[in-house]
Amino acid sequence: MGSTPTSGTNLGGFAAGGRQAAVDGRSGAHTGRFRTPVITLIVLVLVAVAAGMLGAMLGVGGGIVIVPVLTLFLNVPVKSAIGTSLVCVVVTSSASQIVYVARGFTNSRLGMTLEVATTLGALVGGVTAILVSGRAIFAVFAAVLIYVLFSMERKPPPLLPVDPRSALGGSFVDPDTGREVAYGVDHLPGGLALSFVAGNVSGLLGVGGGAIKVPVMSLLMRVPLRAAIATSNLMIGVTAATGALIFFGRGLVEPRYAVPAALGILVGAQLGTRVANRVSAALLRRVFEVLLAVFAVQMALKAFGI
Amino acid sequence: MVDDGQSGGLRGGDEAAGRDGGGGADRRATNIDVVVHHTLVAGVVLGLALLLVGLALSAAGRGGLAVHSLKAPAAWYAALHLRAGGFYSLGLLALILTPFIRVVGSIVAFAAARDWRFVAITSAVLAVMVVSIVVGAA
Repeated sequence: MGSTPTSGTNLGGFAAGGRQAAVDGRSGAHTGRFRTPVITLIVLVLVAVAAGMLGAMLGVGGGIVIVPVLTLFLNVPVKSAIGTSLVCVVVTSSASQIVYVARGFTNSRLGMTLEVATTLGALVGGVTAILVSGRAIFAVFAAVLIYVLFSMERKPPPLLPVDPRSALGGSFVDPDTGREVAYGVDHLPGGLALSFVAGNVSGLLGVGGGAIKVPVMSLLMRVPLRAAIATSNLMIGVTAATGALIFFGRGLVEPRYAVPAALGILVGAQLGTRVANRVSAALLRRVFEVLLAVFAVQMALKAFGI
Repeated sequence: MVDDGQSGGLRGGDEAAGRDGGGGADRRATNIDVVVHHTLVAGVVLGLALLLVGLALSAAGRGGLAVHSLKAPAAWYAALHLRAGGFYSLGLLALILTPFIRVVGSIVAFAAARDWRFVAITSAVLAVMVVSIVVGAA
């Protein structure tokens, strides 16, 4: 990265000659300096397919999978890995939303309401980072995930009847039963507060926050799991797009990683939405719990500086 | 064009899966979902198409997967000269911008439904996104 201050950063400035040089420079860069090993491309695409499936099925971004794989196995610098991962989260969200919106699983009103708090949380994430130590945040995050894990073991809360005075409720046809599920939304203030925290944490830790949003909607706000997953999936896409655009502007979205990853994600997300539609909500819950356990261990390790 | 075929296919799939296709639902949400669905399909299909053209150009020896992405003006220029890098950067940009277009599309759809409360809420989301980008880019 730092060793290659090529035209990439100054391409915005464009004297006519500069443009030509930029295009030529590009071709020079492709043929001479950089050759993607085929094995790297294959690993990248496979990881992206898996992350896309996971993200589509569970309403989380694949960042927690993609960043470690890129940095640890493919020796990608952390910032470029995060840039790639942000693009992956955006693509996961858009590709799965195509299906979830059509099926009516996504609750756009609820998602946009909570997204106000999440985007604000992400915006002030930088402020929080100055006040609190990173390890403390990781420790709290791990503790929250473990608490959520045990909460999910309990029976899901009964659905709240739809409140005609509120615009936030929703309904969809449950593929498990073929019947329409209508639900109201409980505890909006608490949900907003925790969405703020989710945005804050994602701004700080570079994780999507879906692992918090899904349980908050499902356990606290009494939104059915499928709708919670689809709505979280909408929200992480909006949050990640903001970050992705900033990284793109800084030249940290590298086509050599982002293009194969995005293509893999598109395939994975399509597979994921189809699989999610076939498996029962109970199985989805089980898989989500495993994911939470993995996140909790990862965060706990970071809290102890391992 | 391309996206029409795509979304038609999707809706066909939904009907095959036993969904009522939204025809029976009188909720305002249905229209909003249709608008959102079309923006998402358009964004994803456009991004995918640009990336695939890039791959085709790479296969034809017109540039590979570069280290650095191009900013929009340079990307347009490279694409007009049929360099793969231009298409890769424009494709990635289209994918990144899709959620923004989705949010804008939601605002328009809520406005069309005269649902002013959600016009305000969704505009607030867009405003914070824009502020975040300005702050982040600084």
